[in-house]
Amino acid sequence: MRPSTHQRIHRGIAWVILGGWGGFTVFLVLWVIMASLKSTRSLFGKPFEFPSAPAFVNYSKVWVTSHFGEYFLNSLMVVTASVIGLLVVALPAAYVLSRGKFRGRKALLNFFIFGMGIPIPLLFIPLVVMLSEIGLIDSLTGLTLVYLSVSLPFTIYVLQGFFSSLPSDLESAAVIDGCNDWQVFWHVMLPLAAPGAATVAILNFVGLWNEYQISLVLINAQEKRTLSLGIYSLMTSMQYSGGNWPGLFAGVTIVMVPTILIYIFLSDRMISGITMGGVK
Amino acid sequence: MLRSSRSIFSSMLAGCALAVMAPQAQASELVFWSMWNEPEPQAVALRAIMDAYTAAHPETTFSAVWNGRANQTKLRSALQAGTKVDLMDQDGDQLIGGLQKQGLALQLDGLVKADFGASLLPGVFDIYASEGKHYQVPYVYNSVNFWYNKEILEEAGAQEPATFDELLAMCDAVRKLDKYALVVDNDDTYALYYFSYLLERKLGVNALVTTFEDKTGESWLKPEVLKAAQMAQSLWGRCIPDDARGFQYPAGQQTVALGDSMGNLNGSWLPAELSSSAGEDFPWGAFNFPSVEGGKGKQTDLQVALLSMIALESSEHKEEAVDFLEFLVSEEAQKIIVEQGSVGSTRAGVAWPAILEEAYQAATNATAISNIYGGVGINYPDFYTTILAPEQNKMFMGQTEAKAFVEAMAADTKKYWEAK
Amino acid sequence: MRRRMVIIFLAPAVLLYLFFVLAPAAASFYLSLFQTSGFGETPRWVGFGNYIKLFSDPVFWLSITNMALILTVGGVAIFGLAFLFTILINSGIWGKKLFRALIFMPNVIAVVALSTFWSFIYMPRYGMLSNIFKYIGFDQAAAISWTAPENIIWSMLIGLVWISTGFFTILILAGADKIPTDMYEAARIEGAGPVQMFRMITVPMIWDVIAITMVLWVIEAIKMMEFPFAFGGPTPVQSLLTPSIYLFIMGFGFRQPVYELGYATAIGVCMFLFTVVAVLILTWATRRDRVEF
Repeated sequence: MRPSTHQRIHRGIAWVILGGWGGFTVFLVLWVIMASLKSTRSLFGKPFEFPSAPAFVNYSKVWVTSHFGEYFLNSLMVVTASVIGLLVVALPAAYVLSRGKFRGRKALLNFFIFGMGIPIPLLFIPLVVMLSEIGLIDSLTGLTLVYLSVSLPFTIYVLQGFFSSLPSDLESAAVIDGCNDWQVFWHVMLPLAAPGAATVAILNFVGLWNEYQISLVLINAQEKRTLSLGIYSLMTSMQYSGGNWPGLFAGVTIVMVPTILIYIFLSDRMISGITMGGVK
Repeated sequence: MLRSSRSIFSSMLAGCALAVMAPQAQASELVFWSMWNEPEPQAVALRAIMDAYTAAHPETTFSAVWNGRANQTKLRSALQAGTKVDLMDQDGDQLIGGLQKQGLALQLDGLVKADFGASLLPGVFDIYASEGKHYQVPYVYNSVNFWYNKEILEEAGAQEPATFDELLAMCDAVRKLDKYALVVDNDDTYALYYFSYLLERKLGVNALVTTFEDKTGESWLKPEVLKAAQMAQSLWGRCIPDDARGFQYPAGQQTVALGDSMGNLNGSWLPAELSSSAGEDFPWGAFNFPSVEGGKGKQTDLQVALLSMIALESSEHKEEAVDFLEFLVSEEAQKIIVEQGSVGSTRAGVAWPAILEEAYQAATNATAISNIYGGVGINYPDFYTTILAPEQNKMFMGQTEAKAFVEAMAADTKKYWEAK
Repeated sequence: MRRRMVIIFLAPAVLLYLFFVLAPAAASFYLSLFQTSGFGETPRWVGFGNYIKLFSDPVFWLSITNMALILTVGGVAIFGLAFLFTILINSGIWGKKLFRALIFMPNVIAVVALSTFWSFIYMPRYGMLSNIFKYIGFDQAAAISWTAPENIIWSMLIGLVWISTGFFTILILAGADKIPTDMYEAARIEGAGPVQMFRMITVPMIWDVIAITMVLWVIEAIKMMEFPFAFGGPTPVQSLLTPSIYLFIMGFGFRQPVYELGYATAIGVCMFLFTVVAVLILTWATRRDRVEF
């Protein structure tokens, strides 16, 4: 079907608005990269001009001297493990909380939702004491478990919403076809929930990738630090010493790139035909 | 064969000698939690000092955790979990309200040499003492002075001012170059540099704290306090450009590096913070806050923000820890701090980096030292953070009148003490 | 659904949540009844003293005012834009995936870079806005100090809306994606425009998702901390104070050694209660019969 003139005008307007907004974001990303290649002087004196001589040394400094190379692997391990663990734990729970018929379902769901209202800084001291007792303080395992757990409320809440909005006749059809409830979950509901799962996976990945408060409290050893702690240390170094702002932006770029890649990769999967096929 | 048996023999001898001469010296590892991040020059200097100490005392080694600025807060959770830490460092004023107030810092009196304080610059060892008891060893010296570009001052044909009126005259001279003499960043603490110094120049050292400690609040209503507030406000448009109200850290201070502003009232860390934008050969100069007409304070009175190391009360290696603290401010160690850390030393007679020469003179000749921002933040951090700093900022930024500000402070001070 | 499956599916989540979130939170909440620094001294029982003090604390109310502003003004702007973008992106235009990625992009960037970027936009003299206005000859606009104390919260809010819009747009879009495309096709054949399709198809079909994103925003707004905190520079500015920042200042010795952990916890408990109340109100207000298809 060819779009009508009317539609074409609509799309033109849409394109201008989205293009403007998106363009500003591209500008931000380019600016961050540009800032990472400048000298501090030109960053502050001429913040919106191109660097005359790109200072790639900012990257090598951050990668080697500030240990971003090591931190990168730690972040990748912790965040990937947290997100995978999160899906494994949260998907079944969200499914049951959404589709199950048992007493206290609503209460249990609220119990998770309200968890999001707990200010994270209040958990710091008890968590440190508890993790020390079970020997998981200053370890990536401990950090992963905490990341997974604090992300549960958000993840379960969003996922149960996705499950709730799935058509229930599919479920009953599957039961009539002789599926047991495990099979309904695995073969019918889970594939349908895939876009939701992918979305929360990305949101959690991005959130945890940039998280620094919890890791600042739980991690001491330099070889166990994550990228966001690296950023944090670059940022706090501005006070009393060096003031290497382009170095900070080099660090930010290093942290930013994987999340952009992952987002682009996953967002492709999100809308792939698998999920739509289930509905049609 | 011969060589190896000899070396075994000599090491046996060495072992005997050690055992005979120092029976108490056992291998111990001191755990040090630091406010520095590992790549910072100050951390590099501390690493070198620890290595030098270990070289002289092979039985003592160090394990350093480079936590960065949130060190004390991080240590709080760790201590609750029973983590063993022997040494830590942080801004001296923050330690007073934290570990020191909680009795978790090791008291040094009786453990260090009786004349320990005498080897340091005037006032340094005593400034963070509580009721005459010493807990901290300040090892980095930061002072609050005007930091400026000497070339611009010369071009303007002005002099370093000795009085507030001369400061205003200097600003006028610089205005003729179509530049402003001073600049600020707009956070809550910045403005207090001016007001607290003006008050101290009017009423003498620690004037802000004494004003606040008058529990009736009446002291705020003294004409000198109002005058100090008005003098701070009068800098706008004449010394400080109006658009600086919008400078968010570090935009304001960067204009000094860029040559658009002549200077900034700031800590002696400013040349370091601006080093990468100002360049190596920036013509830094520094002078103390000028005196005011008829004031009790002298221009040589200095506000400082020292960085201190402490030993923890819970340390199992108190003796080594204290010994290291003494070493930290020895001439050998302080020279390392100056050379590798590029910061001011707290020890008398150890010259600071060339760029900080004038601050070094100011510290050596200080007639009295008091705390940065007027010191209210030290013993009354809650009042300082939630009321004084923000209200003062509103006054300085022109959102409230000077008169309304002192009246509000009088009322808030009274309320604060009534609630105590 | 069998009971065994319910238990097996829920157990890991409930256990982890109890152990790593609720237990520490309960331990912490209990502290709100004490005066304590958190350094391990014996806490002093004050009952509801911290709460009484809190309610007469003007700084706390200031933080609540800022929170309310972020919640309402920010919320309206964010959801308005998120709906607009959902309509536009689903209007069948070219580059849907690209736009979705771009709108979300600010969320992947460390907050410190975002806040620095925005201060360079607003910066007097050197900043982008100031130079653009100067270039087009609007000298009066060029002289506006966007980040001066009286304007800073609005400037911050603009940056915040820009970041958060992406987050909520992709959640709503993800919901809209599972609406069968033939529904839109059918509507289009009947001559419906994008706005009508959004109102008649998208909204009813993904009402649950919209309700969820609103709840998420309310929770996020009440806990708002990072961006305003970073936007204010190294020491938090009182004009940008939110309850979370206040909690952090009072309990965690940020720059000034205020270690009033009991008091800070009381702030946290209040925030928690706000959240509970707000979520209950919102779920009640957005409740409606589930739309099935």
